[in-house]
Amino acid sequence: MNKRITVLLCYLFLVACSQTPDVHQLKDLSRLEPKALSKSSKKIHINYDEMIRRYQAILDIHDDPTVITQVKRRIADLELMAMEKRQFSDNTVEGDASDIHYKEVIQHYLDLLKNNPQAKANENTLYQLAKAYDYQGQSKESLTMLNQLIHQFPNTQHYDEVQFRRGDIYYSLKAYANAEKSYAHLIVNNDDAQQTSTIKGPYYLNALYMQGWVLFKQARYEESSLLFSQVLDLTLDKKEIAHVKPQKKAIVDDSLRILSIIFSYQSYGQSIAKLYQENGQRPYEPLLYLQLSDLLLTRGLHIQAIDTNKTFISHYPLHEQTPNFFKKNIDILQQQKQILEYHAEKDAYIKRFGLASAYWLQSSVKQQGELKKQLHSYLLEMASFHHAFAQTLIKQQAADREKINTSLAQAISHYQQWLLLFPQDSTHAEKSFLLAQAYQENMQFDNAIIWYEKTAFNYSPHPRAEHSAYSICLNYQQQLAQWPKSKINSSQYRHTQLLKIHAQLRFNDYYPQSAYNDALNINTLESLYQLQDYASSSAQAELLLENTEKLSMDQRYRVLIILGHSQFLQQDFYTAEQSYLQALRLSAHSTASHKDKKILQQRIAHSIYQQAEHALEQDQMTFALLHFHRMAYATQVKEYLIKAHYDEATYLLIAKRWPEAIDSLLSFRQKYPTHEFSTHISSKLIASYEGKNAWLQAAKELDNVRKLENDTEKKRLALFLSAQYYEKAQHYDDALKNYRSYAHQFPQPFDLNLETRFKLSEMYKQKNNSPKREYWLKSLIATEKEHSNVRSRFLGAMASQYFAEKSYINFSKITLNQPLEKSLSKKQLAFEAQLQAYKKVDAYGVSLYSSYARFSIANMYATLAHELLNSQTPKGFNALELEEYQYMLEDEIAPFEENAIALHTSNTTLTQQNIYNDWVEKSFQALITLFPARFHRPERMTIDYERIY
Amino acid sequence: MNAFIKQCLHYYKQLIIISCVMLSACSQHAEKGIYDDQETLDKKAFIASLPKDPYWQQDYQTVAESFQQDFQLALNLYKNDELKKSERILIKLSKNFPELSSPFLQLAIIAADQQRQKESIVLAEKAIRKNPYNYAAYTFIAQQFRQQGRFIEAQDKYLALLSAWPGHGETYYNLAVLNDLYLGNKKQAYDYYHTYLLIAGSDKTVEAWLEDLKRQL
Repeated sequence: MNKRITVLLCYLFLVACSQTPDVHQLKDLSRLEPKALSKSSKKIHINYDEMIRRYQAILDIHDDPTVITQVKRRIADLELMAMEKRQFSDNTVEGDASDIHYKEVIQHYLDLLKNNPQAKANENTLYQLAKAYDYQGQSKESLTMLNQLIHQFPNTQHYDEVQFRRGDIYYSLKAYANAEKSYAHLIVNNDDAQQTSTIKGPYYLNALYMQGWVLFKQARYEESSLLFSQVLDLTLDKKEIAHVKPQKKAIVDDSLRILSIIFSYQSYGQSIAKLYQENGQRPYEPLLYLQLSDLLLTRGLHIQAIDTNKTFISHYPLHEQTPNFFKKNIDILQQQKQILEYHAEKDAYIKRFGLASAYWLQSSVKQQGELKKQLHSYLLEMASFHHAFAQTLIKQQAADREKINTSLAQAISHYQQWLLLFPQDSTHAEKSFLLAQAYQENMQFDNAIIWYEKTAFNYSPHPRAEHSAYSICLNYQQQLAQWPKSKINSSQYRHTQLLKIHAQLRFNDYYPQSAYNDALNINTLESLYQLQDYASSSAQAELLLENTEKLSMDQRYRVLIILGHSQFLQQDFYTAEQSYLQALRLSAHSTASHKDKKILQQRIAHSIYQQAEHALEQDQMTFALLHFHRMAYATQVKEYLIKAHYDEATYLLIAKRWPEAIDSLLSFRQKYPTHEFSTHISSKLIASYEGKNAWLQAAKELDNVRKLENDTEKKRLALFLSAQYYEKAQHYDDALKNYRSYAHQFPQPFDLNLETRFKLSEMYKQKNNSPKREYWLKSLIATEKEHSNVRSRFLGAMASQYFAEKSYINFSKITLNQPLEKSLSKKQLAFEAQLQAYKKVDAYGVSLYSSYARFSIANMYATLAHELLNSQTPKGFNALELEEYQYMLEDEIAPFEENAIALHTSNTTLTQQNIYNDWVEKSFQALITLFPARFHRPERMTIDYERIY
Repeated sequence: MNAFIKQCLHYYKQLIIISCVMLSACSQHAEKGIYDDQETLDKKAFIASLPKDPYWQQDYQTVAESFQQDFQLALNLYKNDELKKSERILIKLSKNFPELSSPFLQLAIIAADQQRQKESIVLAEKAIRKNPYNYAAYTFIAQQFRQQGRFIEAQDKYLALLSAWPGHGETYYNLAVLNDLYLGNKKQAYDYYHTYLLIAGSDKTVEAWLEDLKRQL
């Protein structure tokens, strides 16, 4: 019963205290007051008046003073209880309480003390009296009673309560030292009991709490904070800090509040950290940091609040509350519109608590779930922020690529984390697209392609799918565009090209109606062409041209150009030409420039030219010539016109189509007189004339060449050839003229000059112009003397033979007449002269002419012998004299015959040197007559027709 | 037939070797310029050892009468200087009886008469291919060669004939003339004349030449 009263007293007391401190006036330290302590809620319904009436009835019956004293003590207690009831009843109307006066009951207790000064029961009387004074608002009287009580009854059962109340009254009287002592007695009393807090006295907690306040009032903050910490130690559940029992909530809240105030007077969060580093860590430290941070915010100390939060974060990096402190700072920065810091803090949050962070890994599933809630928004927000920032820089064409890359890298990281954390999110595809986009903007085309692939094909249909599929193609395109030129032929480049083409064809399959298709299909075509897959590029181009209506004029033009190129490179020159022609027709309606058209015309010409070349490779000369010929009608490209015209002429020449070749060559020279090829026309014309046997034209052309030519050697050859051709054309005068010029102008090369002289001698022989023939024969003889070789000796011998033959007439015309001596003498002189002529011929050592010379000499001896033998006989000889004369002659001619035989025999021995010519043969024939015994030895051949079957 | 020819060739080769040895011996004696009786006897023995004409050893087929008539006609025409007619008949015969040699030789002779020397040699060679014992064809070719100054080739052809039959006396005569007048091999000529005389028996003209050659040697 007494305990209940005490509690009630305390409650009332504390309520009063709680009304004093004003959180809004914290600057005034003296005004800070503790919150009201918890009160008991139990209500007992007793009819005190009836009980008092019954006890008073006892007084009327009994005289025993002991009984009477006891009854009076009881009546006083009941009166006090009845008054308490009235005062604290829930039904008490405001104002009623002030009407309650304890004077009467106080007087009853005072009387009891006075009448029983040594009574043991005075312990209770003093206690009740102190309470009554207290209710009556007479704190000092109450304190006096309490002091008396503790003095008279130091071991009173109300010790804790008495000390507590004493402390309270001292506190209210601002007698903080006495209050401290009273609370200290209570605390020490409990601590000495060596009991756990759970079974400590009921005033222990409150005493601690109040002692904290007492010390706070004395500005002894560290001691005070320790006491409040003790309060919290006793009141807060270690496991579940947030769950505070309702009856303790006020004291907990106030302890926290005052602690935060204390820390705010010190070094904020650092003080919290220091306190608990020195006195052991507490599970409720987060609450303290939070309280302090809030307090600082209310005071406008944002930086300090943030620092406090950061202190907690630094000391408890893995604490479950750490993310909240982070968030709190983020919120503060947001409120303070410190945007840069705000974003940085959010990035820091993501980094510290995000997926795969150390914090995340040590977190429970539940904690991760909490984190995810925050990360959901933070990741998206920051990904969007960085992405947008980078895009802005890109739009502004900012030079700071590093900054762009950094922002995009952040965005990419955040998007990726978000996508991993929230796979079921309805906007997953959208975020996947954004990630791919960020990769693309960061020029990480491989990754961009991977994510566009996922976005396009890993989700059920969504608005970004088509664009993603298209973006795959674009990324491949960009990737290829950035390839180093030096590696453009690498297999990797080619592989990427193929991937791009595959992506484009797949896009076409998936989205056949897409507006992107036209551009993509053309790009595919270009890629195939670039890959040198000309068969495929041709097929693709033809496919595109099947749906011409879908293509713009420009696109058709481009497709046709590539088709033409592809066909050309496949050596399908005819179709290439057709494609180029179509493209040329379209070029008028496209954006093709004048230069493009010019190039196109060149390609057409080149195709035609290649068709000709191809035909030549296939040995189809006729077709080749047709292509060369039609060049003149198909194109105006001068380079090809000239080339084709020239080649046509050349191949007509090769094909031995002489008249056409001549026409073509003459036409070329007429059209392009100054072109470098024209310098070759003459030689080709000459060859054509030769082929046509048009020797006269060939000779004239050569004369032409000779006149225009500066090179002596060429002049020389032209002159000789023209002479030859004039000769072949039977224009002998012109031939003679040129041969003659040649013989005079070009002594070198010697052999040709020699032959020319010989030729001249022969031609004059044909013309029966002996003087001129002899001139050139003499020149041959003279030349041999200057320069002797096999040929010059031969020709010299030949010329000498001519003159020997010619002079033979001098010998043969002399007939041996009587007087024989005279005529014989002349004949002998002629013989000697002719003999010298033959010896000259023989002297050249040319077997043919030597055999001639020997035969001729032998023949001359035989002739002389024969003429002598048959010469006119002297007149007047008789028969005997004539016979004598004949014998004499025979003796005379015998040596001549022997000489003849010797010379002929000498000639026949040439066969032993494998020399056998007409003169040798003639010598054999002569010897058959002159020396038949030795030389008439005919071969035999018996043909037995019966056996040769 | 082929087996027979192979056998004959084998035999002839052996004979050629003997013949060459004997001729070499003769030439040594010629250097001495003396022939004693024993040597003469040896040479006679050599002559006696010479094989019979292999042509007659062949198992040849009877030539058709029509061929013989036409061929005779061609020969007559040739003798009458009707070369074109003769040639036409011979060409026809050569086509109808391509296995026979004689039309080709006769065609060769006509070709040579018409100054178609190259063709004549080709035809004569063909005649030899048809009948390797057509000695006149060998001789014809050799004489064509000689007339063209191709003396060594002429000699080779004569020797080829002797390979076919070493007993062909006329060829020794021709070889002697070739060596005597054109090749200037007087000693060789002497031997050939001598061999010729051994085979042919008496030939006063050649014997006189032999004496002349002795003087030259």
